[in-house]
Amino acid sequence: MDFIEEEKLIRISALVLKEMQGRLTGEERIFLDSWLKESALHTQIYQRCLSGHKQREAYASLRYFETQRNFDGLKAKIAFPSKTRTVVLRRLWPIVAAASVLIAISGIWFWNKGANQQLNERLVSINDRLPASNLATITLSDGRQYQLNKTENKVVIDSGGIHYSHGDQVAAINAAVSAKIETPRGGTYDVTLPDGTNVKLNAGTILTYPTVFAKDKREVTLLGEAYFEVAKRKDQPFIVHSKNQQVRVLGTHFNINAYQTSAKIKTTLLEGKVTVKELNRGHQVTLLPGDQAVNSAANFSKRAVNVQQEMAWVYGKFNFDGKSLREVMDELSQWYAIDVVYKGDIPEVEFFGGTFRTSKLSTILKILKDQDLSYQLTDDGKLIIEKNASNIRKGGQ
Amino acid sequence: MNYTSEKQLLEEFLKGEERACAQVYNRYFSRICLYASSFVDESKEAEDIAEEGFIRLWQGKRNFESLAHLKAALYQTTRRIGLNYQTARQRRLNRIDVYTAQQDQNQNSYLQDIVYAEAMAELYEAIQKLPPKAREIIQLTYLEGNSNQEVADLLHISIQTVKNQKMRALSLLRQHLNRESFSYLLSLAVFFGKF
Repeated sequence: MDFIEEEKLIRISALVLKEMQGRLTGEERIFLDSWLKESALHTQIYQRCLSGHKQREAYASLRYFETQRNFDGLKAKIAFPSKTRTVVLRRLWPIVAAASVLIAISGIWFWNKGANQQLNERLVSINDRLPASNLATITLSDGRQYQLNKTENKVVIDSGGIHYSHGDQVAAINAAVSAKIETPRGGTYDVTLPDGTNVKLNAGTILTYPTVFAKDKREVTLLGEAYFEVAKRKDQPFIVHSKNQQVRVLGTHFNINAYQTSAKIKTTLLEGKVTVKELNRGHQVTLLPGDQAVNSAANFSKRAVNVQQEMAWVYGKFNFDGKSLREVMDELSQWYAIDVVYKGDIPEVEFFGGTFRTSKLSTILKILKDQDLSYQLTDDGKLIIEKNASNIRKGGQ
Repeated sequence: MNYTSEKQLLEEFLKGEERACAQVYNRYFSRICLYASSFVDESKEAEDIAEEGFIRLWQGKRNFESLAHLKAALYQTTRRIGLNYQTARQRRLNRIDVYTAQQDQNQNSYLQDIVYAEAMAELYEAIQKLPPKAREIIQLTYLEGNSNQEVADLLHISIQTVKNQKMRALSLLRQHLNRESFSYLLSLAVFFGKF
């Protein structure tokens, strides 16, 4: 049997780990480099291995899968040979195994069906929605516009022009003085700014930035949600303008949630120090790690938050702990590009738990069943939510 | 239940000993699930694919020269199952779903994903081998993104103690990987690294 490719890749993975620690020998380096040069795909995978975000994500997944390990369950599906097995039995194995797999699968199916029947019978979803993928558009100040490749996930802008993180060119800058990168609803992308600052754009977000930063400051404008890892520059503060707010930093990690549709702008700090200035009244607060500034028409304040929850999206997760139905749905509508319609009286409910952002919409909407809500997803992407009919009757008693 | 040598584990696996099969399964299940995750959206499906991979591995010809060889076979089998899953799913999907980036991934890209699954699994295992205190610190700081101050508050210890424990944990991690400058990997890749 031939697993030459697989074996080679397992060796490559060991080299990648070594490379990350700066421990490659000359010969190993040559081997790894030639593999990297073979294709853009290789470089992409290599960079994924190096990505802190991906490492965290993989760690969480592996930890979860460890809990799902169940050899006894597997054993039940494959009869292990007794020492005195006969040839006939051995030949029958695949059939027995296939049959038991079938039984197991149908078992799961019935179980699911049972659970679904507990849901409102009217809950019929015609379509499902897949999670956000790598979609974004770059528009330059001279009017040129480019759809970014969805097989890539990160775009870099520097003196060499606009290119993907592994090198493929998107466009030259020419006379353009600024660029606007925009993710649609259902799209996400990472961008590296001219100073090396990394920004991760959530769905439905617009970031505008100059192709070359001014000498004394680095200014960008944000609408939507983004996570910033700002490159440290002592004499060149980094300023994020959002509606009615300015965030000023020297070099640090923070998240800004400033969607047009939301009444609040939330700035959350992970590392370092930032000042947030509210422009209407001119109030200013300084955030330390774990602090969040909340800026709304009525109020401008600072509070301590659960950073993991605020950052869940950066780590590829939804965390719904303590969120209201509307908060949950606002998040889902961006990620799955749906419009949410509330029909009739919707009770105030609070959610707990979370899931991976790679889940299909239907998987997540299962949380509604615990709240006596039913939903319907129309062909044109409207999610209609209403209280269960049975529950209305109950409420009337 | 642990085998003292890889050779012994392999020999018993080749004979079809249940104990050896369990060991192989326990050792590789989570990384095969991680690998299978790239084919499907839901973790449950990834687990199903991984499980089927193990079943086929037992039932195929077991003539592996080494554990690495066995692992390579397991990846290959898993990839085939994953691709079948996808084909079946694509048939069920309606047109609205066809735009996803996942379909752009060609077979080669799934093959190359082995590098990612393996590297991440090895990193995971090195962290798992740490003593509980050191592991907790690594988890809270690097993997869950808490600041030193937050960890200090959480564990009711001083920020300096957090820093000291972090350094100690990293040096232990280095020993577990039996490699140098592992802190480079965690501090650079995790904090200043690319997303």
